[in-house]
Parts: sequence; structure tokens; C-alpha cells
Amino acid sequence: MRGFRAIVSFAAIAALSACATTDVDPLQADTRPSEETDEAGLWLRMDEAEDLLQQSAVVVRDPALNAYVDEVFCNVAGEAYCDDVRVYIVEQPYFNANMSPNGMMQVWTGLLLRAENEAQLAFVLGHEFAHYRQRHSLEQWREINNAANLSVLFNVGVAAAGVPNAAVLGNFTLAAQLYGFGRDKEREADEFGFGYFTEAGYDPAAAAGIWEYLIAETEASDSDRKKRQIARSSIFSTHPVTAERVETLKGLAGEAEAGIENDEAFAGAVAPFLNDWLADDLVLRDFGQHLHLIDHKIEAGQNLGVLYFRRGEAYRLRREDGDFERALDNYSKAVLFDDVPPQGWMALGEALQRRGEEMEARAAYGKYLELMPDAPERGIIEAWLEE
Amino acid sequence: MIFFIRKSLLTVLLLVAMSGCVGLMPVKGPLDVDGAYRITLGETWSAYPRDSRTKLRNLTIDGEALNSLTFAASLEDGHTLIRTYDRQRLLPVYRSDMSQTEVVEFIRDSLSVGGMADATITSLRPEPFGALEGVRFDVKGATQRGLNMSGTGKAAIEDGKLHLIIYTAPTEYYFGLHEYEVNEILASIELL
Repeated sequence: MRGFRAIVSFAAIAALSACATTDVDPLQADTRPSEETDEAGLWLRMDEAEDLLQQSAVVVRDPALNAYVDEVFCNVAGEAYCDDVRVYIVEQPYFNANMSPNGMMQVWTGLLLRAENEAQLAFVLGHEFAHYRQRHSLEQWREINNAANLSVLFNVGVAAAGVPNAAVLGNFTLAAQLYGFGRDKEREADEFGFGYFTEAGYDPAAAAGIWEYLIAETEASDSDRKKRQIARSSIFSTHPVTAERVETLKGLAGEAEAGIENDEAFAGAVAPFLNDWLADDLVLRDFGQHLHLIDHKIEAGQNLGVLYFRRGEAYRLRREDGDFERALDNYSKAVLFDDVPPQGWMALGEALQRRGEEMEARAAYGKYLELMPDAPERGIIEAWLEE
Repeated sequence: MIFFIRKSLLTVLLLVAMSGCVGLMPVKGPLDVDGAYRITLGETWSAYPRDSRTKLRNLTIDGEALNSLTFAASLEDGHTLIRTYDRQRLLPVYRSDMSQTEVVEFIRDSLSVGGMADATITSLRPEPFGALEGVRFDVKGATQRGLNMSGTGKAAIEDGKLHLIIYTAPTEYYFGLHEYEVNEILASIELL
């Protein structure tokens, strides 16, 4: 019996030595992996996913916005890699960006909504580009395969050694190890991404700035679960603890040369979408987080017609004590600005009608119908006006 | 003989299992909705079992993805149309003091959370819901994969409780295919 156990243990060690290497060189520009490699298989799967994404209804196809984000990416990645990565803007209200091994990058509108300037966007694009250039997906793929093999062999090994209950421990450490790889790669992507975006001349403080903002916004959330995610620091957290990332990036910024934020170009690119993206965010019904975001943007002093209107909408839907008055107050402020969306007049009309101020309500509705002759609510409004 | 009994037993088990999986029932003619209102179906629809969490009932003719008539009655303040086991999840909820435009906004946002991309109300107008003052609306959107969808529906509040009917189908071919039948159904509403 002892002989059998020894053979199993030996076989396990021998099999481990056959694990694929996870130490890969950075990807060269204009390169596609050879067809016979596991990397080519990964690319092929992601090419198929990209075909689906291209047909998807959630891709933002506005030419001007896409041209702007592509330009920022090329600033960060450099001319050589500019055409290797396709950036897709995806209409999703969450803060997120991700990178596939074949060069398909997704930037979600929730990220564009929360970035304060071009430098912050550039840092995130640099971070994602680092995942691509360092071939993190391939490394991760091989690490998962090797770790899975290790888990099987560990379980066989402990069972062979007469300790079957310890097999549970094998799965536990495997899970921690898999998530741990994610943390290391995120740190590395931060480091390389920081290098790319500062080399392109952007403000080094922007890197920590975007994470600091996200911490503050999450702390304002109505969801206890979201708040716990920020505070959590267990071995299962899939990203480095955000506070740790902030400190690391602040340290790097302290040693880097000053750069530009390019906030005007960024504000001009995203302003036409601000109202729609905030509406998408409000669908999530996290009023605490949503109001924190709007308050933060109002402090910056731009797009105030849109922002007061959207703040009014959040209060109207939240329906806490005093929210009706807050909503009405915000609608009243919003219509003082030229950039108020036509729906701001509709919202003001409804609020005034609800409060019984009929003359003022009629005036607000009239302005709305003047600005939006094809308004979907025309039938409802006209029925009330005729009463 | 043993072979015959085994075969019969397997057939019965298979039928029981199938009925447990699908649970579709053909329906036509008058249909009472939770004792609140009645609609009349001109064609034969297939009815899914009522969802006990959302209180939504769903009918289809060609399959749920190709045409879907969803309705509910007497939804109370705080109710959500989204089926979830996650009690902490933040979701659009119905409020009994909602205006007609807010009710339609609630339905649109629920469609968005349910996966419809770019859900947009294209028209809303007053229209009776039985004897109640109701609101009729049209909606456009798309599936996540890019198939354009159209919809129409009607809603009303009775004593603070929401009644609603929504029809959705792919814009191309299927929406128009049963549009006449759906309009007839929406016109057939009688309060009970």
C-alpha cells in the first residue's frame, strides 16, 4: 500500500513539471499568435465574441465619441499599437473597462460618466492596454490550467497519503490562488498603465484621483453590499484593495513630471451623452450613489441644466420626506440654464401640476411641447390642458 | 409483459417530467386576471404559469421570444416586476402615488433592468382601462444581441393598485403579425 502511495505522489510531481510556462514576453506590435498555440485558441474565441459585440445593441456608435476615445487610446498606446486594439464603447451604467487577448477593449459608459477629465480616461485605457501588451489573459489561462492540475494532483496526493479530509483544503487554496493571480496582474497593469499615460504627457495625479472618487461614491451607496466590497480585504478579493492602489499610484505620481488633464476636450466629448447616461444610472435605483455622482459633477460647475434636472429626477423617484420639494427646486434651477434638456420642462410641469400651480404648469408644458413637437407625452399633456 | 410495463412506466414518467418542465396551457376567449379584470383572447395563446413572485402572467403564440403578452393585476406599493431572489438588490418599484407618466416610466425601467437595450417610450396617451382612466403606451428597444423590439401596452391604477398589460415582439414581422389581436385584447378589458 505504501508503495502505491509513493507511486501516486511521484506521478503527481512528474505531471506538475509538465505545466505550461506562465512567464511570457510582452506582445509585439502588429502580431498575431501562431495557429498551433493555446494563445491562438484564446484569440479565436474572443474573435467570435467580438463578432457578436459588433452586432449588439449596447455598442455606442456615435462617430465623434468613438473618434475621441480612439484618439486618447492612441495617445497612450503609441502609434505602433494604435491599430492593434479596437475600443468599443458599451452602454452600461457601471464603472468598467475590460481587455480581451485579441485586442477587443470595452469601455463602459458608466466609466465615461464618472471620469472627470481626459487624463483619468487615459490612465484607465493605459491600464487595459497593459493587460493586452503583457498578455495577461494568456498568463491567466495557463495559471488556471496549471492550478487546476495542481488541485487534482493535490487531492490525489493527500488521499494517497491517507488524509482524504484535507482534500477540502486543496480546493480552498486553489480558489485563493486563482484570485491572487488577478490581484498581481491588476497591480502590474496599474504600474505599466501609469507609465504609458504619463509618457503621453497626462497629469500623474489623475490615476489615484479616479480611484479616490470611486471609493467616495461607493461609500455613498444605498447598498450595504457595495460598501462592504470597498472595505473587504480578504484573500478572495479579485482586485488589489482599492486604498492600496490609491497609495501606490500616489507614490508613483510623486516621482513623475507634471502633465495635462485636458478636461475641456473631455467635457466637450461626453456632454451630449450626459443626460442619457445619468438616466441609465438612475435605472439602477441606487439613489445614494447616484446623488453623490451628480453632486460631485455640480461642484465642477459645468452642464448645470442637465445636472439640476437629473438631480430633480433622482429626488422625484426616491420619494423620501422633503424629496418632492427638492425635486421641484432642482427643476426650477435647471430651466434657468440653456443646456436643460426639454424633459426638464416636462418634469417641472408635472411637479407644478401636482402642487396645484396650474398656470405655471401650463407654461412649463407649453415650453416642453414647443421644444419637443413630437414629445411622446403630447397626448397626456394635451388631454390635461383641455380639462 | 415486464418489458411492456417498464416501457409504459417510462412513458408516464417522461410525460410527468415534461409537464413539470413546460407547463404551457392553451387559452382562448375570456380570461380573468386575479379577480381584478377580464380580457378576451380572439386567438389561441399558450399560457405560462403565473409567476408567484412578480405576479406576472405571460402568454405567447409563436414562442416567448417572438411574441409575449405579459399582464398583472392589483400590484401594490413597493412591488417590482423583476424576478429576483436577491432581497438586497435595488430595483425599480411601483409607488401607489405615481402619475400616469411615472407608471409608464416604471414599466420602461423594468424592461431595461430585464435586459431590453435602449428601451424608449415612443408614445403615451390617455385610454380607458375598462372603466378606469388608463394610459396607453408604445415602446421600442432591442435585445442585447441587437434584434429590434417593439411593444405596446396599457396600465391603470385602481385604489392605489396597478393593473398592467404589455405586449412585446421583434419589430420585424412578428410585432405586426398579432398587432390587431393585441389591440382587440386591450380594447376588451372589463373590470370585475
